[in-house]
Amino acid sequence: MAGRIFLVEDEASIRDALKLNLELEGYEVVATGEGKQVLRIFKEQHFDIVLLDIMLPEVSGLELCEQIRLVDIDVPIIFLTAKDTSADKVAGLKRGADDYIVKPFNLEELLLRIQILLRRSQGKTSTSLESFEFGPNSANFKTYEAVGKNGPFKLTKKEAMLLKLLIERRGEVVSRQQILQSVWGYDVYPSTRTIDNFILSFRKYFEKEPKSPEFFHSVRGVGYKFVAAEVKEEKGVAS
Amino acid sequence: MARQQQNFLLSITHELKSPLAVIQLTLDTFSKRQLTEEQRQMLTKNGLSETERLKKLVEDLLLAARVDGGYQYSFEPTDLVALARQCIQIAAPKYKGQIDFEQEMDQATIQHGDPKTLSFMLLNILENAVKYAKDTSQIVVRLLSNTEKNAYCIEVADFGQGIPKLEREQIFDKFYRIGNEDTRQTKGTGLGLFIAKEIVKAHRGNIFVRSNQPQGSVFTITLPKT
Repeated sequence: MAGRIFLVEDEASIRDALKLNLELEGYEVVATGEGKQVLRIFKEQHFDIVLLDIMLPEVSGLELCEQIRLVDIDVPIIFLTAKDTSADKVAGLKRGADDYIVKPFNLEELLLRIQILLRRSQGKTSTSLESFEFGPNSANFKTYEAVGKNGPFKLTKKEAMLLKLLIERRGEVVSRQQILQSVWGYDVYPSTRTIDNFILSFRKYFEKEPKSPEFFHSVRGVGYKFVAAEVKEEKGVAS
Repeated sequence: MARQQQNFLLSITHELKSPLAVIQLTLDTFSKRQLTEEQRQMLTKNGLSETERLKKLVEDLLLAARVDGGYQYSFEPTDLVALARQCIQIAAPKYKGQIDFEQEMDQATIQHGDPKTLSFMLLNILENAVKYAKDTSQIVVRLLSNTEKNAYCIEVADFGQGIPKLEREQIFDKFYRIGNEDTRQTKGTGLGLFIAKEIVKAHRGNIFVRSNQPQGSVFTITLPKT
């Protein structure tokens, strides 16, 4: 199970040895020891999991965990730290971490815990819709076939992914950042303007009046919201 | 003192566990992986340097316990010029800039000096200057004679971030470290300057720090000639 790991550790020797081991396991690793750079790097790239030290120069890992959670509620975070009291562990988990590992640690155990969290988070995103009908429209996310106001047509892969994400979270505002991470999911993101163009296309395909949309709503400065009453029961598959 | 104890526990936790984590990780990696020569060398070098760090920490802890009461100093005539040169030589490779030595005399012998602990003390002050002024280009060590007090003065001047006025006395207290341990930029235990002060005291001298206007700190150690 490959994935991108963000390793935040200021002790160069631990960072080097961990990076080497994670890469030998097939993960792609971005590593930094600079607390102040963490949030910027996290916002610019997609990561499947974060390994975070607590005692860092200038910024505490606890604070960084909170800041990451504001940007991304789902990414698994593991604290990897010398702080070993119960109170430390509770504080770390309260700030939004998924796991807490104390140094010195057993390599095998760390690798297993990473695998478990990755499997859990990837499983969560792969339980999903197969198709959905809204108004006179429909979309099949497996075959990319859709029916819009001008009849049947094919969605592109990215269109299908974005549409699926918005529909799965219908009624909720989905931020541009979350869209970029879920749909593009690699290290260099396209500009947010790209998402705007996708939404414009959706309105053209599915809205009776694209200028006063019924389904695809923009929430200024935040992201997008899909609103629709279900026409019939959606078909779901859990992988 | 409670905050200092807490800081000490935190820093000692970090300073003990980080090298241990590296050593365990290195051994785990050697036993689990087929490594290239380059990877083996990198891990070995890191593992050894962390072992050194651990050794230094244990020495500091033991020395701190000893100088706190009952250390057996062996006093003998000691030349501070030679001692200062030796310490500069050891500290220089850890510093990117230049450590200059300014001396008023070729020889500066004190009658009651314990070379081992005096070297430890001066090296500690020098290494602190290196640590807290690592991005600067010069550290100056001066050796002066104070005829009025019949003493020699060693000054170590850096051009780093300096020490807040309110903390200039506290930094010599046991376990004292400036700032919050969770966001510390430099590693350490808060024992070095305490040990330095105890050593200077045992030599009937004194040590203090002042601002190196406009930037940095000057540590002055005064040691009686006789």
